[in-house]
Amino acid sequence: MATTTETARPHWVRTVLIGKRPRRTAVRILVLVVVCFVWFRFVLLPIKVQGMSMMPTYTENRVNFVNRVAYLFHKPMRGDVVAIRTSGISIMYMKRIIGLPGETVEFHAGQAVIDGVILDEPYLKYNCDWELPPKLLGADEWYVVGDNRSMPERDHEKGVATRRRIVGKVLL
Amino acid sequence: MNRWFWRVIIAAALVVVAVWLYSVFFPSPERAIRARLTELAKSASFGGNEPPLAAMANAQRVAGFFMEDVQIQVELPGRVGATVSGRDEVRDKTIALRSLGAGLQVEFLDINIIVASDKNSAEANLTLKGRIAGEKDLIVQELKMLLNKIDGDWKIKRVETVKTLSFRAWHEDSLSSSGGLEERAGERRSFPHIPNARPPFNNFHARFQSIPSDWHSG
Repeated sequence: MATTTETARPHWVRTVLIGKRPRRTAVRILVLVVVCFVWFRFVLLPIKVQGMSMMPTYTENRVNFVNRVAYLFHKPMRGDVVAIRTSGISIMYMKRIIGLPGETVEFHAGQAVIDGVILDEPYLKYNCDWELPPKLLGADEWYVVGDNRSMPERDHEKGVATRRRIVGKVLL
Repeated sequence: MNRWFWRVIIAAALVVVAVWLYSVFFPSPERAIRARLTELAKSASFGGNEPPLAAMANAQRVAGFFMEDVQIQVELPGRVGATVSGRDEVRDKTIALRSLGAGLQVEFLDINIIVASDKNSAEANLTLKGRIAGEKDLIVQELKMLLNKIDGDWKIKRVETVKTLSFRAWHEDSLSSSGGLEERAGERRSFPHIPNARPPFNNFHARFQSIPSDWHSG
């Protein structure tokens, strides 16, 4: 009797790897894979930061996530750091929103000026001397720029992003 | 019952194989263009110290992807903007580039294709990712290509830069909304996406790649 019980008992390695009920384990794994795929593809997109235009807020090679559902119920807001798609989401721009639709954005003596009022940007650590003429944003246009403005203005990628270009809000 | 079950399974498998074979031997225009662009990226990539004869042969191969009267106007981040007219110039510039010595790896990511209703012309929007051997920074630029079908082969007629952060989204000004490629080509609008073309910008902007893509690129 004791012998029979011992032969029916699965080996401990097998129990650790696939559990006592393999079929249930397989279903769990399948569900987990599907949930992870959906979650990390359509909700929280994993990203790796490259480049220096968001320094020092975001340093190079830092891993982060883009919340793709952040703007389901409201529009992107000033101060949000967002991901902006190129022809797809394999490579995206990471920028901060400083101008909202309908506003006029300009740079004077290195300071962002929105509708004639200097924008308070506590996240900026480096000074700059950018001068850019006023630009009126359209109804579906957000003005985005990086936090590192220590480089010459022409070397810094910035500009207007439409809503469909904004993939989501950077999470961390 | 059991015999019928297996007959249905085998018939379904045969249908799947037939569909797959059809798609291989008679690919859709989108699929053919995608394959063509992937092939171009592969041909445009090269390792350092390529022998001169090989460089010439490969440059000729790259030029073969373009139409005789191709127009290329691109501004690559942090590089000098390039304007190339004609297939011969493409070949010459490719030879010159390959003779510089440093290797280059080219990839076309996120290729979106719109085929015109006559199936003989198409527009492709993609992101170029280039890596020069020994350099840390990637070259990243969104591009738009116009292609025409010549003797069964898709050839590139025009290449232009898309300024991601400055202009309308690609789909808002694409074939689907403008009534076909021929119409647009007839307008003789050269590079409509870059009306305020400015000196080449640097790639200091923060780019970030989704991790899966980084893994693919090895």
